[in-house]
Amino acid sequence: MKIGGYAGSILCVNLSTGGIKKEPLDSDLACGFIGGFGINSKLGYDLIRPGTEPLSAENKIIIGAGPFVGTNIPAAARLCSLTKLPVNGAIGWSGGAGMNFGIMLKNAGYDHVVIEGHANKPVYLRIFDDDVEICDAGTLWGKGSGETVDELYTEYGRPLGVVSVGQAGEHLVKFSMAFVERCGTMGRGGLGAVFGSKNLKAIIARGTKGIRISERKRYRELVDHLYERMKGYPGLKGAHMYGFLNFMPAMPQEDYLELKKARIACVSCPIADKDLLQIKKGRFRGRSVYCSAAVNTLMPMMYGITNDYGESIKLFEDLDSYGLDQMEALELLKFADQLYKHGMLTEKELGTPGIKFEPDSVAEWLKKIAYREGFGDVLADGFGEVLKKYGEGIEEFAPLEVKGMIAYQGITSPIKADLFTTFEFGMAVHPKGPCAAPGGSSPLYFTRGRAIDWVAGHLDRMGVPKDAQERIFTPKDGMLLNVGRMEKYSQQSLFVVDMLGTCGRGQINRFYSNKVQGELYSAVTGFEMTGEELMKASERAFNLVKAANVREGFDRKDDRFPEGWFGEEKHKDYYENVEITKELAYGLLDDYYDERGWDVKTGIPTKAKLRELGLDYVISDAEQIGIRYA
Amino acid sequence: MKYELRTYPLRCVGCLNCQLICSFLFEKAFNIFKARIVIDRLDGGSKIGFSDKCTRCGSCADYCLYGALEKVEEVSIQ
Repeated sequence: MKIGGYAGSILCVNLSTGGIKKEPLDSDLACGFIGGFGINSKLGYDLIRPGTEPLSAENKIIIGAGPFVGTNIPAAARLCSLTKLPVNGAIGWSGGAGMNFGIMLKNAGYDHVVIEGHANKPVYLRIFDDDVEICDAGTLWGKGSGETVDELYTEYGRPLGVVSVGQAGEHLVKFSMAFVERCGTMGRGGLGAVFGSKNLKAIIARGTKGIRISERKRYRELVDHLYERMKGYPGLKGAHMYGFLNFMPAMPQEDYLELKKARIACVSCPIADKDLLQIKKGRFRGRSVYCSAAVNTLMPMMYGITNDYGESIKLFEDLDSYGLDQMEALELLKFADQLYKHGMLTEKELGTPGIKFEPDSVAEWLKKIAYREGFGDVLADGFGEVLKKYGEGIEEFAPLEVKGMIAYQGITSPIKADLFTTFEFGMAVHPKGPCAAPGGSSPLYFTRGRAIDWVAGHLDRMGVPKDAQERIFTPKDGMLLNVGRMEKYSQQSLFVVDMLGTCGRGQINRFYSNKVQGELYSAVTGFEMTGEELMKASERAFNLVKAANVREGFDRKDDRFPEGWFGEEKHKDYYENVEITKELAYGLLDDYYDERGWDVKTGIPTKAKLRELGLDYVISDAEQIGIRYA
Repeated sequence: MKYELRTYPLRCVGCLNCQLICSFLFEKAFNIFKARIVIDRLDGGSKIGFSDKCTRCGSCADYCLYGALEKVEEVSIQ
């Protein structure tokens, strides 16, 4: 049966054998797990066997786009990827990216693509409707992620969906990412290296088949209403003028306007948060740089490397071009410098007397990491491996490390955040480790200190049941809001977004209540489903990925808060009544597990929870490899 | 009803909402290649054109949130 919104097939590619297969999308799979994140979770659990080496031919790259992608539902361009991550061995998914790739993949006839194997020479995958080919990447190999896009545009023209990796991916840097048409990032934790390990430089897609809607009239009414609401949104004009800076004023607006060359949108996005900047002064004057948001180009400035926009933007371009995760790369350089300063690394090992945090030196170090030259080869393995290699006693120099990556937003993190919200909490409990969307859409900084009634209204919109709200609002140790209990629903709400394919930004999410999501899903697919049922499907998919990680040995011991968050400076709770000590944080962790219906002692799902979600097979699968759920 | 459609190519951010609604209304499926408005993305803005099949219904302008398309005037009544 053809389901509205879905393209109807999964593309399976084996780069070792050259095999290309088009599998029909099973309707039970589509309805039980739903879209990008949901179906990815089932494919990942079934296809990535426990103990798979992340950089081996056996690992899979799974990329999917949900049922809303390709329609004109506002901001429905989101992709979701899943693989076993080289940086920490977790089965990790990333929602994000967007741009044109999702719509092109869907129009070519595929909801998901699964890639395994290892090509014997560099290749890229071309998906043009039914014409799918593994192509020689000869001239592309060695190029940056953005240059690769330029070359592919030149060869094939636009519109074209492109996912590409830079030199860091080619050289298996364990925290390298994939990029979508220069502006979208995907796969924190080493998706780029998984591409590299398969000799896969890029995936391109173009499709002409069209996406159909099951209930057109109902759909039109719902979507037209959304457009009307968006047109009346007071933040719309500012968003168009200043982009993401309108919501996060990280630089003066007049400085941004000087740098702004053009705004760029993912398909169907009403706020266009991507930027094409042009450097106006200094040695890089005239250079145009694409970015996921202007605010992200300021990271080198936040690290004190420069106070010049041009220098900062150029370093950002280097990071993106190599395909490096900028947070990991810059924090690793700081870490190496600290080790040197404390005599734990010699000049001979490092190759230089410390690391100078100035533009040319940092640029040189980024190149060393991307190409694994000198000590860059060591850093390219990421925090987890470096900590293992240099042994006990050096953890204190990596105070933000969690699951082999850094928790980049928090009280002592590069992005300073003084409240202990679901975002910070999520850095510790997300199965893959710290990432850009760990804890979803519950109240963050934009709504700081709002009254309980307002928060309750927000939770209603998210589809949080009343009994859960009672638990969330039961005071605990002076905190009026239990962020551990809220985390469960915040994650579930965000991963509904990852299932359906709409954007995860708060500025977009605000238009999609759980009820609206259910109505839209029903109109698009023709399968009647409530928001509550979508939340349940999200919980099912989340537990399945959690189970995949349990098979890899992850449990409570890995859900750690960064040690650096419990020094002199501490987070405060949402209402700023209480300082979050280590004891309080881990008490909230108990509550998180309890709310999830997991075993508080081990931090993994219980048999009862797995059965409730229809995941009985997880219990027997686990028993076969000696894992017993409580 | 037909409208004169004015274009402001530099304001176009590439969201393709115009092509999506056009194809949905006239082809019953979302398919940017079957839209009657043609968007060629450039590095900053787009080239905007219309195919011969365009009926000047103005729906593309109704769904453009960036002011790149404007239906300014009724040119005839059918």
